[in-house]
Amino acid sequence: MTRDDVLTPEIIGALHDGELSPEETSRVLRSLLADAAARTELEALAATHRRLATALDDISAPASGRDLRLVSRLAQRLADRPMIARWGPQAFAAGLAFAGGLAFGSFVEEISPWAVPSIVEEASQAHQVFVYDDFRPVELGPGSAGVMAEWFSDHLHARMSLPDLSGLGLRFIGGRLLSSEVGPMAQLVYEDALGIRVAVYAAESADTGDGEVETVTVDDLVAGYWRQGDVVYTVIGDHEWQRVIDIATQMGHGPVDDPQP
Amino acid sequence: MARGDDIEGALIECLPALRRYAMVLTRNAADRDDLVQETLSTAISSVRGFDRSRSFLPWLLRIQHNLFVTAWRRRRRVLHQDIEIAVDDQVSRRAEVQDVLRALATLPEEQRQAIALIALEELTYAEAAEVLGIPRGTLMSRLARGRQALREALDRPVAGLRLVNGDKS
Repeated sequence: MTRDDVLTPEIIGALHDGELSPEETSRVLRSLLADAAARTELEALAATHRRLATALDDISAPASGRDLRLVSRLAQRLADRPMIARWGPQAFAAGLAFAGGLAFGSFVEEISPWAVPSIVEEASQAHQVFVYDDFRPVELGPGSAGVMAEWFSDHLHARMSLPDLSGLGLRFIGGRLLSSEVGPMAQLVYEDALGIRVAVYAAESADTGDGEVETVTVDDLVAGYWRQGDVVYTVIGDHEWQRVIDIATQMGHGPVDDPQP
Repeated sequence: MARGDDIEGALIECLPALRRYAMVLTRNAADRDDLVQETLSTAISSVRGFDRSRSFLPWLLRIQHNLFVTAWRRRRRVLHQDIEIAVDDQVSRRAEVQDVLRALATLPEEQRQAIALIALEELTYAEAAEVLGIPRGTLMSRLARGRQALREALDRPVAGLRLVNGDKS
């Protein structure tokens, strides 16, 4: 290996910044011992770094009163922000009661809260990380719908088409592929005219066949999930039971009748 | 101490870094202040997007960077080819600061941002790459090129620079 391979400006910079592994550091230090020019380069880099840091330390200037008031508000918002709840009987019962109030009681299958698939929990966590991001909620936009469908189909080993929810006033803004406990999980994000977002998640199902929609709550999120063919779908929204049910209906799983005695 | 106080303390510690990076982005003390306050306001409305397992500073810097790149800069004056560096009275007394600011201002924006995050804020490469939305390798290239250019700029007088004293007109 030549000097050019080991002591590139990038590597010398990474050594200075403490970004090399112990093994890489040892290797680069050995190379430096035999290369005076590279040592000079490192010293010059360090000197520039010190000069820059010392000089620009002066430009931060004291924070203003308005900065501090904003920080105080932000701290309060962060302190109040709910953690992702574990699935539990209370949340589940509340969800059932709410759904029952909407006269969709028969639509919601009563299940043990402990039987909620981990994929739904993972979807809710991904939801909180990505869907409310103001800058990059999705990786691919609506112009890449065809690419996404193909991408998701390949990874989920099932033919995927992106649901058109425009009939529900929801505009598709894009999606991404995530990893989950059971494998790849597609996230498709939609937004209404007010900018309120809801997302559909799809992952490969361990079982096949269709199942009824089941609903749960997690903090201020509501989720509906069901199995359809080889895929388990989850819809997650904010306080929007009706919307979750509407989406499930649109995607082919409308309310079911009470079983006849 | 209440949890909210802990959070507030940690956020206050981020302020100098936010102000320095805003200065590097805007090159103007008044605009720096505006950008920092807009960053904090945006963070307040984006709390749900914050991953609690992460540090506050990279999250806030990312918001600030994205604000500057995607929206804020468009609303502001276009920087002249003849670079203006506005420094306040306190800073202007220091020729060294002026020299460094001048040299930094000659760098392409992407190199200046990379240097500021690593050299000033001491973010890790992973954190800085996330703030800038670029791969780690790209960050390393920008850093290396930027550091070389900065060293050269510091070693020679820069033509076409005009020092202004906080005048944004």
